[in-house]
Amino acid sequence: MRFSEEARHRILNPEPGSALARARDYGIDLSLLLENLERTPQQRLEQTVKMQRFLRVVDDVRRRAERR
Amino acid sequence: MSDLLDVLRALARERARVVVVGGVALRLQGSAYVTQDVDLAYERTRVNAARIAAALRPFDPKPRNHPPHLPFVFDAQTLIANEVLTLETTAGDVDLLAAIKGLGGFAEVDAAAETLPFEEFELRVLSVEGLLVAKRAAGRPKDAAGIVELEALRDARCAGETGIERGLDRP
Repeated sequence: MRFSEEARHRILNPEPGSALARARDYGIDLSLLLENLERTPQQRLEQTVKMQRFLRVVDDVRRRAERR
Repeated sequence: MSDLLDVLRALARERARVVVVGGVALRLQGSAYVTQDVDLAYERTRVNAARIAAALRPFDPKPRNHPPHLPFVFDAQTLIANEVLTLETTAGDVDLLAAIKGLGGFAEVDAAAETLPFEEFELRVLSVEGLLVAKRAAGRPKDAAGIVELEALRDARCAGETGIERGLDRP
């Protein structure tokens, strides 16, 4: 999904009281959300798998540390 | 090393009727949510159970925390006899669910799903609206952030599709 500059601006600077503003106030990174929406579903899936591989490595590191 | 993409490819090749739900569906809809497993709603028919069993068997699925000395057979009957299977596989954790709280059985989940392109295949993925229904019904504390993000995603997508004149907020 491609966003116009104006739409991007409105997403990153949402109107007070909007769902986007609530998300920002909740701590959700709207720039990350926008970046994800600009990816294709295939790219989002590949990104998820990359993250899962990374988390497996992190878990391995933690497990090894716990064994010491 | 196999990964989640291999699991989805295998299921698509076998023409298994599944809908991606949970964290991976959130990711596919644009969320930044991080998840380590894939949750799949599946049609609990004999034909489909056989397709899923054929697709997943190469990944050596076993129930998570299954005692190694106890036997486990993963076949169509296993899928038909269970409503929830939480499996560890050589490609990562895969949860198979016959029903989703707030939505219902596979037919209802599938009705709330949309088709997304995936390589030469198509994936059925729970829609933003479907995810919102499921998360609200689940009512777990960990879903609160997901609901806030899904509502924001819905409006951000609306902004992208329609410009800036409407849809930036809905109660």
